[in-house]
Amino acid sequence: MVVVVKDLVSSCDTNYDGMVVHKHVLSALHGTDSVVVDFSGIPNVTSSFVNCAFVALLQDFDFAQIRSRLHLQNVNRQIGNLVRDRMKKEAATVA
Amino acid sequence: MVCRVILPRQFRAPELFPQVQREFGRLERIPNHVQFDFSQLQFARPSGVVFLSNLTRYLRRNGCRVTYCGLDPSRDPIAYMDDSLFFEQHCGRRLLDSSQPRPTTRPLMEIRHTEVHGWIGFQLIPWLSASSGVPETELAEFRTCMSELFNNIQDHTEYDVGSVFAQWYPQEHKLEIVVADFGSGIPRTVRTVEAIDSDANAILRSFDEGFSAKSRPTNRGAGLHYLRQNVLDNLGGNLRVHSGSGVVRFEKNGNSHQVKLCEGSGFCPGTMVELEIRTDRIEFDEVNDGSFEW
Repeated sequence: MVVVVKDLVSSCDTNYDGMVVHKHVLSALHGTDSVVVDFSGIPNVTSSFVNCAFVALLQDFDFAQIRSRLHLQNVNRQIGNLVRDRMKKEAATVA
Repeated sequence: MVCRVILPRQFRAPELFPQVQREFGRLERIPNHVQFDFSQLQFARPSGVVFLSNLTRYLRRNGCRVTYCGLDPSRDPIAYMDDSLFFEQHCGRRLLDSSQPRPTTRPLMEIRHTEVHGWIGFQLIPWLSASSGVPETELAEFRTCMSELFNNIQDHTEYDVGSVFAQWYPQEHKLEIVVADFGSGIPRTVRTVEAIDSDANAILRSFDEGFSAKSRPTNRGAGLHYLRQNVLDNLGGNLRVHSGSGVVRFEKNGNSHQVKLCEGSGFCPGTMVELEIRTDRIEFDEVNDGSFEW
């Protein structure tokens, strides 16, 4: 299943944007094995967005599950670095 | 009785903070009428423009009459402020009809939090890209820094507006941008969760990774840390944060980050952030194919 971020929010700047995406990603992860989140047309993300969209997934899944089942595509350097960095740091605090 | 404030020759916020403290304390003494005298001004910088704009709004909001004198538009600093739209916003019209925003600036603007991210994406980034020649796609880190800054300022204020002004220096490939509000400020927010003695130390604490005053339950103390890391490491810049009686300057010295703290050199109501970046130090990402590995 593919979640296209641009279909859900116009940008990825705020907590609210993150919550909207989180709702769809969480639902997809509960419904299918492999989920792709597509960032086409998204120039950047903030930590507020990443905390709400992805870090919050750690309440339902462990990081190993997320890494194996959640795939990101069409990400630029900034998006990739921030998502990876935030998830690794928050997963370490949960562990 | 009119309280006359002679603005300093160097019209920058750090020169204005001691004056504010002298005249108005920590803004607990607001006169009925304040007149700002521009006659001594020799040189105006964005931080001075933003700060006086915010101060004028704050004083008027609190019932004070604010007037200006010594406005000779033939003098460079006054012409600069007129081109920045300062007088249009505070006197209802420009001093000269011919004054207009310079291509090297994003003029002074009072901006609501709900409009901030749109302004960054649709005005600031395209303007900086056109000015600097750096493609918009390579300004993603800077764009996020600006959004992080506004998201965090929003957490430290009870007002829904702030002021912003940007100046591009083409010879130096340098952008100077100043963002300020008149909210309760960073030190007060930090002290809701930790007892910290000085305002400068409280500002510094707010930039620690993982520190959050939990103004929102989802905050995790990542935004200001991201701002500091990226401005210094990826954008060749530096950062100066004023709030209350504290000032913290972050800059890079060789490969290490240097932090300078200053306390008690005046009073900054709310929060003011001065950010400088160098666009010739941004590394381009030539190999990105959109793929992602955890």
